[in-house]
Formats: sequence, structure tokens, C-alpha cells
Amino acid sequence: MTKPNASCGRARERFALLLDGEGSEKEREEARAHIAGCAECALEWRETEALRTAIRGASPVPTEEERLAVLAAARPLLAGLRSARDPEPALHGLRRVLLFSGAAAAAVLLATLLLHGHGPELRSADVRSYYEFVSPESGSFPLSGAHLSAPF
Amino acid sequence: VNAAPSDEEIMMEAARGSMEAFEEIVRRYQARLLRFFSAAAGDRETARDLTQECFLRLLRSARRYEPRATFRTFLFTIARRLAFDEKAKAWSRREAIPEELPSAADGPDRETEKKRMSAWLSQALLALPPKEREAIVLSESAGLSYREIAALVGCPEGTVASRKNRALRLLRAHASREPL
Repeated sequence: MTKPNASCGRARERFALLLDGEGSEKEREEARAHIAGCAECALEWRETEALRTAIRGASPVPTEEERLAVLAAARPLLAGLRSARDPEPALHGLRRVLLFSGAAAAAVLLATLLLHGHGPELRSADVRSYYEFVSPESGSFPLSGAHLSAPF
Repeated sequence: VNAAPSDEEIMMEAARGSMEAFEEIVRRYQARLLRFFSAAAGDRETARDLTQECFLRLLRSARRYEPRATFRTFLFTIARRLAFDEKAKAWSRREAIPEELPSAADGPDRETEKKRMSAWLSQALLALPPKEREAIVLSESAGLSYREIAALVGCPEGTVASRKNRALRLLRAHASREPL
């Protein structure tokens, strides 16, 4: 066996990189080349690989019982996450209904105007304010029939 | 070919309460967490409890999760905090009493052999300095890359490599004194 030198030290400093495929390819290639030509470092490298295999072999593996216990414990939290999410689609549904009601009311208004003419009592400002009232952009929607008659 | 959904995609589903997505997270990470906590705590029972608690904390903080951070960094940040919470009892106890090494009289079967190796590993890891222990545990047990470990621990990747290398050297020395 030869005495370890500086290049042995550099190669051994890269054992972890070699094991994990980390660092640059150049760093790993230099270490591999040194190991190939140095019996002492080759021995240390084989011991390191064996140690890694032993570490992995000694690692615990979860049992089916442990897996089921985690899932059972998580169930109420998952239900909480689902219920925190659910009100939103319900709200969207309500908005859709309200928007539809507004659109239907607008259609009735237009039909009435067309059928009964456009009397001098209807002012353009009234119509505009009505559309502003039912417009989705305004963020406000008619909630009852009383609101629908408001512009008149 | 449909690629398997990423951890981040599955986590977003779990955050919406999907049991199926959560089961997949458990399938992918329970073993890694168990190994991580076994190495941190030194005993199987504590590791099992901490693993479960880690999954529950993951769900409790699920609404804060944003896929900008890798899922593994997010999960092991929680795991690491849990391990630190147990610090007095586990992670940094240099004087810990790990599980007793089974003797040759217990028989040569595979299960006994595995227990013996596991106990040896616990002792050997607990004999390491904390930073070296953390580097090798996060790398070997949790399966994180050096980049992920560096982000988690807050040091350069080169430092992770040096710490792991030193840990391997110390473990080899331990093995030569107390063979596997």
C-alpha cells in the first residue's frame, strides 16, 4: 500500500459526490480515475459503498397498519379542507341564478317597451340606471321584484 | 404517455381535500419520513408517531402551500421543525440510549439481522456531530438532493457535500471499531 497523498485526499473528498451523482461530471471523473489507479483509495471506496448499502438495508419500512393509521388520522382534516372549498361553488351557483333573473327581467322590460311603445314618461336615464343596476360589472344584483321596478 | 403527476400537483389536490391525492403523498413519502425520524429520534415508536404528526401538520398547513416551493422542501421543512421540537428528547441527544442491539443468541433470521443493523445504524448516527448527522440523514434517509438540503439547512451545496463526506468517514471509523 502506498501512503495517501494530496490527490488521494481530493478523491476521498469526492466520495459523497460519486455516491450521489452530485457535483460536476469532471469532479466525479477525476475521482473515478484516481480510484482506478490507487489500491488504498479503491479499498476505502468499496467500504464506503458497502456502508451506504448497509445504511439503506437497515432503514425501517412502514407497515400497512401504520399507513392505515395515518390515513384514518387525516380523514377529519381532509374533510375540513373539502368543506372550506365547497361554499364557493355554491356561491357561484347563486350568482348564476341571480344573473339569470336579472337578464330575464331586462328581456321583459325590453319586450314591454317594444309592445307598448316608448312613452314620454320613460327617460333614458331611468333605463341606464336600470342596466347599471343589473349589470354584473356593477357587482350588484337585483334580489327581489321590488328592485326590478325601482327605475320606473 | 401520461407522466405521473408531480408531487406539487398532487399536493394542490390534497390541499383541496382529496383523499386519493393524500394517499399518494403517503405512498411516496411515508418510508422516507419514517427513515428520517428514525435517524433523528433513534427509536421506531417515536419515529412512527412523528411521521404521522408530520403528515397531519402538512394538511394543517396545506392552504398555505404554493407550488413555487418544491413539495419536498415544504414537507421536510415541517419534518425538520418537528424533529427540532423533539430536540431535547431526540435529534440532538448525543447521550441517547438507542434500541438495544440484538445478540447472536436471538437467531440468524433475516428480521433479527435487520433489527441488529438498524440498531447499529441508530447508534452510529447518534455518535455523529449534529450537522454531519443531518446531512447524511437528509441525503440517505430522506432522499433529498444536495440542492434541496442546502435550501433546507441554509448552507451552500458544497458544504452539504463536505458534511456528508465527513459523516461517511466517521461512520466507516465507527464500523471498524464496532463492526456491523
